[in-house]
Amino acid sequence: MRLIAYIDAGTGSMLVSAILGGAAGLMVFLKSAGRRLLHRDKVTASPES
Amino acid sequence: MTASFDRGSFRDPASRVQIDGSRVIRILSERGLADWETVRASKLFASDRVIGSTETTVDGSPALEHPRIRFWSYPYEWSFTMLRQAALLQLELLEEALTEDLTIKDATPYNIQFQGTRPIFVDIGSFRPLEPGEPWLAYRQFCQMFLYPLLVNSYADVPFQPLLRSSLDGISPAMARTMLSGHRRRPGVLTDVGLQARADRSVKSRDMRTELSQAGFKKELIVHNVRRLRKIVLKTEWDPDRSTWSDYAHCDHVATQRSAKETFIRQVAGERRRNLIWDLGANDGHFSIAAADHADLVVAMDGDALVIDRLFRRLSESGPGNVLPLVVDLSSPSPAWGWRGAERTRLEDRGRPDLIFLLAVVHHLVIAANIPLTEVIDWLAWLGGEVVFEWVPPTDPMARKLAVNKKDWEIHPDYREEVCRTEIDRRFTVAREQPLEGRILFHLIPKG
Repeated sequence: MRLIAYIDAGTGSMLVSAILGGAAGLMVFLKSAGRRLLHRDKVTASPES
Repeated sequence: MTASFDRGSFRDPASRVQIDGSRVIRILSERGLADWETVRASKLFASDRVIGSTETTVDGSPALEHPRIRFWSYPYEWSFTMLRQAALLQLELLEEALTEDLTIKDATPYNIQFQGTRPIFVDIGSFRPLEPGEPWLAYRQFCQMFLYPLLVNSYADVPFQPLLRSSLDGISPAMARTMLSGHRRRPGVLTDVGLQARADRSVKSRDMRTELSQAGFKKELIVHNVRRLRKIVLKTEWDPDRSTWSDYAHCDHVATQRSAKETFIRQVAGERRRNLIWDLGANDGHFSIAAADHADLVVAMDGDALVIDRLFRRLSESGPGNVLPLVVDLSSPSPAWGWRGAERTRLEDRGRPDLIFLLAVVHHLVIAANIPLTEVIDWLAWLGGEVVFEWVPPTDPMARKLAVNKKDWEIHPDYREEVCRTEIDRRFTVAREQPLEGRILFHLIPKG
């Protein structure tokens, strides 16, 4: 189950504002996504409570 | 006079506004003071687009003093062009702030007020230094509070005022997407509406500020975004051919009575200077403008958003600059609401008028809105000012038009001239009355 109330709506909006910052913004978004992929194994998910 | 905190300013931990008689004081926290010390040299504060600030102290605490706004208004009382002007001011100030490595930490129209037709940014506490790699944190708020209301009004002809009056956070991306589903090709819809609505559903919470900063986010990206949004806002427009009341001034009965009413209004208004006049049911603002020379401010209210928008545009072009047009449904004026029912102040508590015009309105309140005549006169007396009141009898052709689908027993029985006079006599002294083609103009002075 996804707990909607625990999701910060600002996260998605910050991402969108970066993407809409033009070509450079798109690069920042891709770089950010790439870093997340590279570090995915190191991230330990914490249970939502 | 005892100082009291403004009930709408508590959300910002860095500063809080206190009202002390005619003084408006912003008490700064340690953080707020640090921000102010960094931003106070900015060129922005020398501009008349931002409210003036004088440094002071209150009980040893650092504070700023601002000039008092004569009459506060809220975005759900603004017309389309007013909200559009406010959005452009917000973007303009942000872009200028960024050139000095400053930012505006929020993006809400509640931080903007109109002095007549001129928008002015009033929340000095919103300016702070931009941190390196920091994204535009208020982008979402700008969309919900400015952009989406403008888009739904402009593209889908959905009035934004009831939406902003029912939600302090404005219109959500999901709601905007639904309302704009038939307008996907219009500027801003796929990007600022669609992308955000999708991101709301699919992006999990994470420390995006740090992530974007590490990925090389720069302020130029915010500038690009701000310029892009400015273009979208400039492309929005709303000017339908007509509305219920947009042609009212051209009706025969209005044209024939207008001159006599204007003479009456000019005589009453010219008796002495007033601080605040309310023109209720102002329509094209003819009487507001006629009285403007004799008041610090005239607030011209009408429930029809189009007539108020046209009035705003006309006043912006040719003045006078001391008339503030507002979209207000008199049968349901803006209430107090928000946190503990007090974050936003009811219309009547934002400044009582010393003169009120209620011309050709009473029959609409009684017949169309089913408000008893006694209530109307009681409300006028409670407001406390003098009143120019036009009595429109039930036999008046326009009153009969309103009642065409009502049985006699469906109209409040107090809607009679003798009741009107009795109720007026209980609360007012009649300074003057003048018959007008079956109607009566009264100049009323409150008793006591």
